[in-house]
Amino acid sequence: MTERQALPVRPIRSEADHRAALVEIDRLFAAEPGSEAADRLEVLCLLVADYERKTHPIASPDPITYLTLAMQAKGRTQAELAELLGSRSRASEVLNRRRHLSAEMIAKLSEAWGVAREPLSMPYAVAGSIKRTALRGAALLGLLASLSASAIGGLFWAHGRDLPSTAEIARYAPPIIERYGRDGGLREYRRPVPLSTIPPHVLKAFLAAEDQDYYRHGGYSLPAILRAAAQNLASLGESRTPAGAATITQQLAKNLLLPGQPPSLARKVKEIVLASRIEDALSKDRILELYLNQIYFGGYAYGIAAASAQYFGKSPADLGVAEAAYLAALPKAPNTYRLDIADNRGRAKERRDWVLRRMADDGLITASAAQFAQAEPLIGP
Amino acid sequence: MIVIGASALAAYGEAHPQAGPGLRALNALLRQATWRARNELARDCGAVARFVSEDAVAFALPQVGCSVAFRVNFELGVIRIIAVTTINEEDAT
Repeated sequence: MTERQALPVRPIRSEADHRAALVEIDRLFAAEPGSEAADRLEVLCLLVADYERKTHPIASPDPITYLTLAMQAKGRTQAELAELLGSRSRASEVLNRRRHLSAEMIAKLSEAWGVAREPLSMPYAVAGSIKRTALRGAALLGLLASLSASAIGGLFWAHGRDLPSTAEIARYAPPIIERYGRDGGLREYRRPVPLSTIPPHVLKAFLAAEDQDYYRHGGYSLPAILRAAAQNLASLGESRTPAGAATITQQLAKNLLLPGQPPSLARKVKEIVLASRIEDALSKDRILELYLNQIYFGGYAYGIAAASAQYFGKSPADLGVAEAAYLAALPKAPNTYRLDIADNRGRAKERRDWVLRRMADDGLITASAAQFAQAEPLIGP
Repeated sequence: MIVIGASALAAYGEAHPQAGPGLRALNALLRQATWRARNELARDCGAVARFVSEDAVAFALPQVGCSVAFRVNFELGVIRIIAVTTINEEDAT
């Protein structure tokens, strides 16, 4: 025994200790089995292995890379793997990462070829995983969309089956009504007028105030409905009136075919169903004509002719821009803006001027025409 | 087997990232081995292993792009990685 071999084995705490230990291992590597040098070599190897595990860890291999290397080392071919696994496609899919190694496959590889089980059992991704996950996600979304569509379809069918048909709507003709109360006072006055007798600036005032997209939508506006739904959700629990998102066609449906029904989801669904049927049955101009002759303007006035007479003592054909804007302001809240109630006039003028600004913004009248109209008093001298 | 000098595998893998997965697989292959004699090593790795002396072996891994030299002490069950060197496929054939 040499003096060097008699030195005690020290723990390996640094790279310098590590390098020195490796040098000694190399010197002792061929030590006679059972000798003191072999004992020292064994202890040094254990200490170095432990140090390297802590300081130079090497991650577990990918199972397929491991299998490929093991096959290469043994001189095994893909054809032999196919024979072992029972099918060429199975072997190809495993090696090309399109199929996971099953427990049965790992057992066969271990028993027949002596390939270690542990490295083959580590988790790994196969090529189809992401695609399959995406397909499953898309299928789930599709299913949810189908269920939602079915539920919405069912809701519309349930609320739409008892409503007037397209043919019944097409036959509708607005009546002339002059109804008085027991005191002899006028309660309801309707006198329908054809659209052709209503000046363009009057029509523009109503379109600006009530439905800027009237000639572009099919009776209802999905973006507007979604916006209103979002607003209503955001204000849940507050005492605000729910946002309506009603087009002129929906307002006609509500006034003509659903009078007196309080706001609700069911009424909104019916409005949409009826609006769609009205658009199928009638032209846009006819719908606008019915709307203008149907809506309530406060007091006894139902329809544009009655309103023109009640507030200005005129026929619709004689209305000016400012007067048209005022009448267009009324359907939103007739009794809030009625001119014959003095307290309303400030609010009424604000609303009329808002309609005029909106007409100018939409290019329906010039900015100067809007300014001149805003300067006019609500009630003439 | 106990593998020492595996830091050489890690260092080579860091310098040659494309070789990293193959060297991790080799490290696992050596650790999982239970060779007690040369013939057992030859049985498991004869297609890539070449004995260059009584206890020194060279593993040629052309698909990984390198050759790994190591010594084996079958009695103690120890593998000492000596070196990892770059090769190309022409050298290996």
